[in-house]
Amino acid sequence: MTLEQLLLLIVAAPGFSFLLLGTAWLLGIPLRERITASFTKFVFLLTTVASAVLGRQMFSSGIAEVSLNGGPWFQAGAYSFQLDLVADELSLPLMGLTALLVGIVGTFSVHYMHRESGFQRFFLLLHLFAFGSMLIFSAASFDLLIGGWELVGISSTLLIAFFQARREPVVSSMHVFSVYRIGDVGLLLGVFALHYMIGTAESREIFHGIWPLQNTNLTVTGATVTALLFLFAAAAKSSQVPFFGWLPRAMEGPTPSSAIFYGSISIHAGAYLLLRIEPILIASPIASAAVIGVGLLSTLLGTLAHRVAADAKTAIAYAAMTQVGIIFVEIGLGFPRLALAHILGHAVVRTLQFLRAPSMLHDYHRVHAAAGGHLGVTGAFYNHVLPESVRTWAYRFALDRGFYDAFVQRMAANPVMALSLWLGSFEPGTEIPQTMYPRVTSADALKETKA
Amino acid sequence: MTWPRTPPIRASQDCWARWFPVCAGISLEYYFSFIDNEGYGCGTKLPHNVTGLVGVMNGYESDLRTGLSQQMVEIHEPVRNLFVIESTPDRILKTIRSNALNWEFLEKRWIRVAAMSPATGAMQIYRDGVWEPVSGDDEILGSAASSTEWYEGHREHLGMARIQMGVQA
Repeated sequence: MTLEQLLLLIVAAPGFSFLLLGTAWLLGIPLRERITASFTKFVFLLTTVASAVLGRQMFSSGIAEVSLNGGPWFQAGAYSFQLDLVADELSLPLMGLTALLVGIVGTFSVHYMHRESGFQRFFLLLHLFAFGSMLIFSAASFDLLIGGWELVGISSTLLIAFFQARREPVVSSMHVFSVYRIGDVGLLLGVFALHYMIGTAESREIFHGIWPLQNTNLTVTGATVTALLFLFAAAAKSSQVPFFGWLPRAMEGPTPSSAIFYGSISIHAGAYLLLRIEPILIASPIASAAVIGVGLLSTLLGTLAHRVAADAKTAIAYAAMTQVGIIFVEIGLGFPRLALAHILGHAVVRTLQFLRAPSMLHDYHRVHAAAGGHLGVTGAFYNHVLPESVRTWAYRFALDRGFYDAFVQRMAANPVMALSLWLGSFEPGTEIPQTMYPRVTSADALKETKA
Repeated sequence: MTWPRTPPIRASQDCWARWFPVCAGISLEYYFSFIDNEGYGCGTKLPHNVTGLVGVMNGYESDLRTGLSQQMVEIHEPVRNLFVIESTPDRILKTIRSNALNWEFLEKRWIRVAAMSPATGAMQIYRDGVWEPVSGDDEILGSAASSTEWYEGHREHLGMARIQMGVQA
C-alpha cells in the first residue's frame, strides 16, 4: 500500500462507515447493537493502525509531507477546486489522535449507550464527526476544510440535541448552532479574502516550505485581515472570548459525546486552524497580538468560571477552555510545536476526565480515602492577592460566567428580535414567536404541567 | 427449626421498626420510579451531570433528579414487600400492634406479613384483619431446567419458576 493510499484510507474509512450505517438506517434495516459496535471498533482500529503506519513510514524515510491529489472537485470558469489531501507534521498527529480517541470513546459508548433508543443514531453521528475531523485535519485547501468544519458543526449540534424529547437539549443545541454559524462567517470571509488576494485557497499556493517553517507572500495588511477573520472562526469553534458561553450548553448530550467533542477534538479545531495559518500570523504582529489577547482573556475567564462551577461537566468544560486559551497564547507567541504537543496531551487527559465525570462522587471518595482526608483547596491564593471588594465582584463575575447570557440577550438576541418583529410587521397576519431566545425556568415548566 | 429461646417482644419490635420502613421505602422507590420514570424517577442516566457533589441534574441546567433511573427499574419488578415471620399469628399481631409505626405499615397495606408456624411450617397470610391459610397451590408455578431457559428471549418481568435440573418445561 502506498502512503497516498494509506492517507486516503484514514480519511475515507469513517466517511464510508457513515454512508453504510446511514443507508442501512434509511432502508429500515434493523442493525443489532453488537454489529454496529464491532463495526465501529474495527473501523477505528483500522484508521488508528493506518495512521501509525503512515507516521512510521514518513518518519523513517524522512518524508515531510504526503499529499494526495484527488483531481478537480468542480470547476467554475477558469477556476477549479482541487480535492487534495495532505498529511504533514501538523495534520498526521491530529488525525491519529482523532482515530484513537473516537475509537476509545466509541468502545466506551457500546456499554454506556446500551438499550438507549438513540443507540444507532449516536454511532452514525460519531462516524460523521470522525469523517469531518479527518477532513479538517487533512484538507490541503481551505475550501475543503470548510466542508469538514461544517460536518463537525452539524454532528456536534445534533448530538447536543440527542435527547430530542426534552426541551432543554433542543434549546441549547440551537444556541450552539447559532454561535457556530456566526463563527462560520469568519471562516468563509477569510477564505474569500484569500481567493481575492491570491486567487486560491490551496495551502501549497499560500504557504511555501514545510510546516512549521513556512513563509507566505501575503502583504502585512492582507495577512492581518485574513488572520483576524480566521481567529473569529477559531474562537467560535474553540469556545474562546467572545463566544465562550455556548460550552456549558453543549453538555446536554450524552457524556461520551461531550468527551470527544468538547474534551478532545472539536474544541481544538480552532487551535488547529490557527496552527495551519501560522505563517500568516507571523507576518502580522496585530493578528498575533489579537490571538494572544483572546487566549489570555479566555484563560482568565475559564479558570475563574471553572473554580465556581457547581456541576462536574461545566467545571471540566471551563477547565478545557482555560487550556485552549493557553494553547492560543502559545500559537500567538510563535511556538507551534509546543502548541501541538499541548493539544495532544490536553485532548487525552480531558477525554479521560469527561468519561470519568459520571463517577465523580465515587472518585472523590476513593481519593479522599487514599489521601486520608479532603484534598487542599486550590485557588486559595485569590484570597491573598485580591482585596475584599474585588473578590466579591470576581466571584459574581465567575458565577455568572462573565455575564455572557445577559450580554448575548442585550447585545445580540434583543436587537435581532426587534429587527425581526419590525420586518414581520410588513407581513400582516403572520404569527411571530414572542421568545426567540427562550430560557426554560422551573416556573415555566410548572405552568406547562398545570396547563 | 425451633428457636432456643423465644426472643422478647421488645427485641422483635425494635428490629421490625427498622426493617419495615427500610424495605417498604426501597419497594416504594422502585414502584414510583417504575410507574412514571421521568416524573418520580430520574429518567435515563445518560445525560446526568453530578452537581455540587450531592446529586445529579440533566445536562447543563435542570432541577435535581430524584428517584431511580430507567436503567435501574427496567431490571427490577416493583412488588409489595412480603415478610414471612416464623412465629404464631397472635404473637406477631401483638408485637406489631405494640408499635404504632409498625402497625400503620401493616394496616395501611404498605407491607404484607405471613406467619409460618414454628411447629408445622404451615403458612398463614394476613389480609384485611384476617389470617388466611396459604395452601401453596393458589398459583401455578412455572418450571424450567435452568434460569437462562426461563428468561432467555424475554425483556418483560416474568413470574416465579421452579428450577428443576434436567427437566424440560
